[in-house]
Amino acid sequence: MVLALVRRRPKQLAIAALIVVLAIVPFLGNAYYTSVLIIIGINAMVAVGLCLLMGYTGQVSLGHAAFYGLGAYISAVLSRTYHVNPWLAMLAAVVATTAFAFAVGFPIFRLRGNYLAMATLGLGIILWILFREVDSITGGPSGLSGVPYLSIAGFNFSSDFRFYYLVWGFCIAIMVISESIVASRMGRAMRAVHGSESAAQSLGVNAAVVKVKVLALSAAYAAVAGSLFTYYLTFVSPQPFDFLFSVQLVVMAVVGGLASIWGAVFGAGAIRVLSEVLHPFGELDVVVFGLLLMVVMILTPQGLVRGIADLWHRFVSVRLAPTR
Amino acid sequence: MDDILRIEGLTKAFGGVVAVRELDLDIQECQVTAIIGPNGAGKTTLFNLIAGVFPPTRGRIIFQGRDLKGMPDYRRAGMGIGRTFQDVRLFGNMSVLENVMVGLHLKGKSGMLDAAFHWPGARREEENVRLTAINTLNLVGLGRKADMKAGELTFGQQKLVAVARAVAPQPRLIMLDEPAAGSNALERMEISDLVKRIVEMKITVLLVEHDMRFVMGTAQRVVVLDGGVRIADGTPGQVQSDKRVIAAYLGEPEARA
Repeated sequence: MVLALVRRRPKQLAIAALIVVLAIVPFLGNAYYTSVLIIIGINAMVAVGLCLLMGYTGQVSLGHAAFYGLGAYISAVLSRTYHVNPWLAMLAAVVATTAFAFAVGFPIFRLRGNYLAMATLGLGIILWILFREVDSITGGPSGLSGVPYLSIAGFNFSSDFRFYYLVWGFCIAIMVISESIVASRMGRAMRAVHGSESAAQSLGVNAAVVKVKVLALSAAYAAVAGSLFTYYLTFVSPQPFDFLFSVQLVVMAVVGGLASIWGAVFGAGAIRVLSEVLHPFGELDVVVFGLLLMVVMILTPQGLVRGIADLWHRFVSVRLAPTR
Repeated sequence: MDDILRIEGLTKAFGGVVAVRELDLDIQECQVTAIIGPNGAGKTTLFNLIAGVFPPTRGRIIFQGRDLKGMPDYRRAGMGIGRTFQDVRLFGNMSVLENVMVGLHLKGKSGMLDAAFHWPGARREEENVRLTAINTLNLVGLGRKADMKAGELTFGQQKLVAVARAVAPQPRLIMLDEPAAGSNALERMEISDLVKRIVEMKITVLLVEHDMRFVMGTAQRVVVLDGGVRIADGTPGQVQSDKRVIAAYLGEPEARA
């Protein structure tokens, strides 16, 4: 009965299992674990979007921190400076960031490969400079404090315990939506563009439009994540949205196996845990991430999840070999 | 019979190299027309021009009475022009069935939001597309391979999937670029039968092929290109005995001397 369920509905079962495990963690009473998992959930949303863009559609972005930062800043400025309801500010942030992605998407996707990478890199750096330098709105390098908490009818998401469930609620919703999209007509068009742009176009797929739509969707995810991040800290500053974070996001997607929604979430977790472990050693984490990226690309280009699964299969078949 | 495709004064130059030169050509509906010629004769360039991969240097392409000038390739697919590629270009990481379902992209309308929220219209559409794709796979005899990764098929099977992918949306014109290349004699007969069945579906076929026996047994009309120029045009029998064709394939007597 259980086995049949595993075979027939593996995705639904995995999501159920993830929900159960995640639901229990805050009750362990370790505040540190809870706070790390909140950040993992926030990073995972951005990584899932990047995975749709890079893994499924085959378009690189080295500037995804820009969309994440844009979401965070719009939410922070609207809710703090202009006293807009934080939820409305978040909605505005998502809409504006998505519109921005549409606007930059059409010119940027005239480029391919290395040139596309350079352009997205430039985009990330330009926005990061704006966050730092437009003092009057963004508060400059020291940022803005006093961003309000999210609340629903007097219920404040002011504790880690409460915020944890909010973040993972959003994250699981994003995962479920992304899984549906990947399996749909749109998802097939995305994968077709990745496989062969010329063949996809010969079948009526407008590759440019597909790429821009996926960029916009991933920007929307990033804006949700950025908004939640700023409401979690009740503070925003340029530092978390720098170029290094864009690179970290790519490492998350690659480590998880580019074309896997689950992999992206796993990658976000692995990279976050690794950088927590490496925290006492200063900037060593950058070196380790670089090495990790190289090792994964060379040894298991399908990502760590697939790599470990393959190793496991090999292990099992070796163990069973003598009895056959 | 009516002309489905008219080509007038078509020229394509890549820098100094003229791949297609002042070509006039009318293609009749529901017929198999083969384009043959030595390497570099401009056959694939002609396909790319008709498909809209790049614009012509000069000349016009009129499809079902409509000038295709400036129309991008993905919109020409919507007009009913399908094609396969010499180097197949399947989506290797997708299943065989999904490859054919991409071929039916324009038969569906559902977008990102329909998928994200599981609206019932999208689910019904998905079912119809899946059914059509399975039927098309059965047509090329690969129904049982539907769930395999396209990249895991043999080269010959991959070529058949590419044909299924292009035929699935029932285009008005399909261009097959070397459908029999790399196949053995038995497979070539099967592909020839498949081409005839495609024509029975009221789809006009334009094909490029090097294998003469295949061309003679499949096409009603053969157009011979050499250096971007049409040097012969007629039934397979007429073309086979044409002196200029023999010269183009074997080289001019003077040149060999």
